[in-house]
Amino acid sequence: MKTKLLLILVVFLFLLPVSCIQQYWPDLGDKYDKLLVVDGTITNNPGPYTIKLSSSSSLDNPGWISYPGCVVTIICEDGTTESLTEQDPGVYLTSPQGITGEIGKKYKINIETPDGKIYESSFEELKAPVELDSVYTEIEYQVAEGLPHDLAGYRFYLDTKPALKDTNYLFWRLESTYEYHSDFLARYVYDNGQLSVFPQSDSLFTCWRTNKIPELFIYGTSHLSKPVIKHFPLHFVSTEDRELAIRYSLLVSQLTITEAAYSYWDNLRRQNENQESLYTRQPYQIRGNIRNINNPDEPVLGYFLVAGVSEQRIFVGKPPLLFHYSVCELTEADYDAMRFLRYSNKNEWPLYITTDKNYALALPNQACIDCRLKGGTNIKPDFWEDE
Amino acid sequence: MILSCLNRTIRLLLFGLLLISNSMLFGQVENMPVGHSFDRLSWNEFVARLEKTMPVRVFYESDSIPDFTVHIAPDSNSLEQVLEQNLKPFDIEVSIDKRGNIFLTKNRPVQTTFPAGYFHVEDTVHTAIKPPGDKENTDKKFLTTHKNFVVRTLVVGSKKKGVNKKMVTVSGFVKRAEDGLPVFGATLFIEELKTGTATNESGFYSLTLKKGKYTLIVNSVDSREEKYELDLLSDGRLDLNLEKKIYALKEVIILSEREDNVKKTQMGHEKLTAKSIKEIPNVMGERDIIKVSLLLPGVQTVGEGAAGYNVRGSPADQNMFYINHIPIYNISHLMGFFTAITPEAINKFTLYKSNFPAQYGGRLSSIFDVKAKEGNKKRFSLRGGISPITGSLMVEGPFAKNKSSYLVGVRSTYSDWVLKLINNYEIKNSNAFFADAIANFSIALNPNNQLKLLTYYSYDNINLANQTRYDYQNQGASLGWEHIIHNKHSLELTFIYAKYIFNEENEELDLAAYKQNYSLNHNEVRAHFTFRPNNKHRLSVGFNSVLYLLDRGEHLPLNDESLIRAVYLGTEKGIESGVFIDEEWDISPLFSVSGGFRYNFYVYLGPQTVYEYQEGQPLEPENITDTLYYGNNQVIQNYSSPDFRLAAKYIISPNLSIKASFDQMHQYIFMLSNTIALSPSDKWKLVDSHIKPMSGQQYALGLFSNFAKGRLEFSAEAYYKKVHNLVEYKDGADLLVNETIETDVLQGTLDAYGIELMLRKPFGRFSGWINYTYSSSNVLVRGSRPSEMINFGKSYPANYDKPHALNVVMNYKFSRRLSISSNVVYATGRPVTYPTAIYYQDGIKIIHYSTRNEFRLPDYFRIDFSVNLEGNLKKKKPFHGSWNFSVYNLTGRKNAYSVYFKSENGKINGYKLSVFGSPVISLTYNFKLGNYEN
Repeated sequence: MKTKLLLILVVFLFLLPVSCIQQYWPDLGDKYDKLLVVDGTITNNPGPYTIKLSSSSSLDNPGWISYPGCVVTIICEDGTTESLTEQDPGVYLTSPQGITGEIGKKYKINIETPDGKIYESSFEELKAPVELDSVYTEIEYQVAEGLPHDLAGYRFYLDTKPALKDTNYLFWRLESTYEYHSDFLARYVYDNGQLSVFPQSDSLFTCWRTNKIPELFIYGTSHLSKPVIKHFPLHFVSTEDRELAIRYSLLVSQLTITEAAYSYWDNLRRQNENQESLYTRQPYQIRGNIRNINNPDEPVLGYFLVAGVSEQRIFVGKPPLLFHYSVCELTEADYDAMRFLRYSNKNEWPLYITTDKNYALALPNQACIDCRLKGGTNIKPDFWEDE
Repeated sequence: MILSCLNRTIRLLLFGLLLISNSMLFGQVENMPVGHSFDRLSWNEFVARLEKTMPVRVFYESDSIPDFTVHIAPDSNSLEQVLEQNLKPFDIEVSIDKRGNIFLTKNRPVQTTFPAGYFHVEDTVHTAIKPPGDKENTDKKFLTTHKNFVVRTLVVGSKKKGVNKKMVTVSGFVKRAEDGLPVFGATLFIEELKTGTATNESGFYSLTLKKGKYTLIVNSVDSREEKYELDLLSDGRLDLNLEKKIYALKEVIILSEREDNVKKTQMGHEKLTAKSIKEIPNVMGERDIIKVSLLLPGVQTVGEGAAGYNVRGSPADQNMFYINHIPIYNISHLMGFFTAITPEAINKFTLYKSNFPAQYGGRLSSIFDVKAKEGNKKRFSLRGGISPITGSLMVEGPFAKNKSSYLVGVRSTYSDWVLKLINNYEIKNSNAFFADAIANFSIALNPNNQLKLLTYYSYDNINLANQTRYDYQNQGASLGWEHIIHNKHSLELTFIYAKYIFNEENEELDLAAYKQNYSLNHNEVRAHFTFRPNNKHRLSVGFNSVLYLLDRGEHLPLNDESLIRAVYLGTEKGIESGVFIDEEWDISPLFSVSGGFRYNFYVYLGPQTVYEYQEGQPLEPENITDTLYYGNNQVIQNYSSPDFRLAAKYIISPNLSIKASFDQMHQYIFMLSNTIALSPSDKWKLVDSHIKPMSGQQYALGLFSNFAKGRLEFSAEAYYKKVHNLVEYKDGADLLVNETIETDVLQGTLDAYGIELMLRKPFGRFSGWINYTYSSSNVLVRGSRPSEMINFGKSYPANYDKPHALNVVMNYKFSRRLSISSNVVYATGRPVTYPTAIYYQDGIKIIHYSTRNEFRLPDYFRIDFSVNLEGNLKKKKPFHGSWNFSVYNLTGRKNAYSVYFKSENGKINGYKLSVFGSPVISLTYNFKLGNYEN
């Protein structure tokens, strides 16, 4: 907020760029490396449930470092337990026919590490889910630094149905899927030193890419007069990229969580959001619901989430807005490249070749012709609904 | 003739010569033609011929003018022109009086006439200056006064009245000759007895002595030393007018003395006048007393542009800010970039860091006591200024000459329109406005009774991109009656009103758009009686009582779409009272002690809803067992406590003294703030039945020395401070809408210590100071349960803890018109809680933080520079202007205000925010009616 004020002051000061924000890295020790991190959820939807165990990493070299070889058990207060199997290093799964979360019951997790340390979470209740009512979009314009125009796009919103209880703590997980097209059709393919016609020329043309939205959306209804949420803003998708260019889908999972879990996430959210302001609250260590049972002071990171869930998916078409993403065009080099096909590296095969309107062959950047190279899949997802 | 070294005997000689030269009065000496026979003479020959052929005498210091060749330009041949043209390269100012005396001084012209009223003596005063000649003749008066300067006997009282009396009391006011305003802190020293006194805020003093003749020396901060022969015959009144603008003697003959660092009893306080802060460079050319205070030892801030300041390791809410007894609850404009005090209307300020007079209570760390200017009692005057963002205007003048005066000062931003020109949605829809005003009235009912009325107002209106709007104002008024009893004692009775009103509207999130208001009302009565039984004792007693009425406000939905639940946070009422007694006792001329005692009594009153919590359980909403309703004025809780204040001074040698003090304070109101810098939405809260008053003790020891013939002052002060029941907040506490503040408050202790070294050169062509402070400030919050601890129960450095701080302030005067100033500021970076590790949760990268304030920001360093150019020095002109060009942060160093980390598109980035990350250049124009002097 004060940054805005600064902006105004800057204007006062003969338009001099006085205040500034620069990238900066302080020198930190390694004292906080290698702490156990727990990341997993049990819901009232059927399993399998995934629990990921990892070690914390340093700021300058962030990464997910698996914590393999642990014995992980989910325990229900009614005595039901299930030990998880380690599918990949640090990724532990329940069996498909195994434990299923039940509304109103309490669950905890127990972890035994290879060096014999035992960690356990507190029991948390699986809350009855607040139902989603609708998810919708609105066109939004934003001022963007370094852009000659306003940033435009869709902002997603949601409404919930009235909850049964006055106080609910909600946590949203968003997953987006969008359809996108290559800039060129693959007419020919060069493979095994042979140039041949590519028969399924549109198979590399349409892809669907699915992403988890790495943004945090939570809300507590304790201070609302009615336990219903209207017009809650979710994430924003701009026309600076291809995401909205054809068709876009958003899956919203609304998790009803405990107050303790909400407080953990809310603390994380505040710390993440508040940092840019001059009136920053003191950041502080946030510890989740897991403790070393023999050494409660040992910091253990992450949260074992127990939640009731309600899901909804929506599809949106192309918005009536100008798009600003870049489109590949054929260059001289692309035509020239045809002459050097036989010198191409075997590892790059197959190479896809397109033709222009004069039927001249060209070898463009493969990401412009094979949509899979932009992170998606050319297999239509089961849930996808075309217009 | 050459006066290479002027001492007192020569001074005698000088006036003797003046007498002689009177007989050669020819009128307009300066216009006398200088013939061509003077051309191409060496300077010494020139002077010799001048004195031989013309009725003039030339006075100058031989080493200030080398022997050069004098040129007489064909077009200018009056004496004054010739001298000015020839001496200009040596920065010599030429002053010629009516008797043909020519004074050649470096940079400062000699004033050859004395302003009216210089030796003004009121009729009621039993004072006689023995004039040997006719009073009517101005020329003779000039001579008379000079003669009297040498042997000026002031007779107090009459022999008749003094019969049978051994001890007599002389009292009166010390005033500035030019405008009749009282001089506070002027010292009156009886040379023979090595004893003396100082004037109070009204300029009043009182001395009780044996009958007889004495030598009286009068000193004050910005005037020269005056020496009088005093003949005390009986009780009587002696008013003294101090002249500060006569440089003739000050410049050439004696080094002016001032309020003495070594001799005064006080320690741990800083005093600055408006004039002395005028030339210090400031951001955007706004003169700002708080920003100047940050250059003093022991005063810190969490970052530039941040509201609030920290004194000797205490949080910002432990400071009291007074302007003529009116407390100001939000002293910041634009959330801290400027100070909400009209700069033109300030006379001076004192910052008490320790050794608090017992009349002050209620804040643990500091008292910032600003005195507003009193209106000129002699004539109308107007001044103003234009800076890049504000305009200010001040008018003053008498209602009744010499009796009553007014002063009105206003300042306001005017450049809001600039924002509208910017093609940016957020800025276009933003505005930032502030204004402040002071009106000061002073009425002398008669010599013994004075009425003073001050009203104060400040206003801020900030709109950030139509999403957040702040609107806040301070109002204040104080009405004081000062009464002098038997020329000896004084009584001051003051009624004070202050109000702070705050409104916020926030629509960052449609469904949670809210508006919130808040107000604090302060009503105070204060009586202060100063009693002087004899010269060795100075006793003051009094009381003050404050009625606080707080409206914690309503948190309401801003519009129909908002789903915010309306919350009424309720009102608070409390009375804080104190009775105090202060005694200063000069045991011997070298050793003096002072002791103060203050008894505080605080009651928290209804109407109020108070929650009861389960015995032995933490104060959490779920542990509420009962709700109690208290009716209007029903006592909910009371606290009472004694404050002790002790101080001692011992003069080891005339230039060296040692001082020690102990202070105890209690505080019953605190700021709800858990941001690093104060935020505009921070609100005050009274202590109640759950939150206990804060208390603090401070021990201080100081060494004070003057050296290099008093041109340099040195002081070293060390302190240790402990605060109990310091209010802190649970991690992540939400203080905006909190009906049960006590559930988020934790009370801990603060330990602070430090040493402050200060070297000051107060006068001269080059003036300024350099200070270094080493300090430490640590907080410990360790309740009995994990939820009642901060930082897991371990001590951590306070947010504003900056162990090393160095400030240099320099001012160099090239001439009366041109001066340059510069500041150099260095401080250790403030402590900060850094992120230390990364982990992943639900696909989101999460930053894990260190323990509280484990790391530090990069060190702070800044250089400022300013040039002051005054308009010409012509005596007769309608108005006088001056320009101030200043560059803040000359090197453009990007000092870190904060370092923060953000997770952006799955990548963690560290950022450093600099508030003034490049040089800030500003040009300010100030003007006033009259010439340079007036």
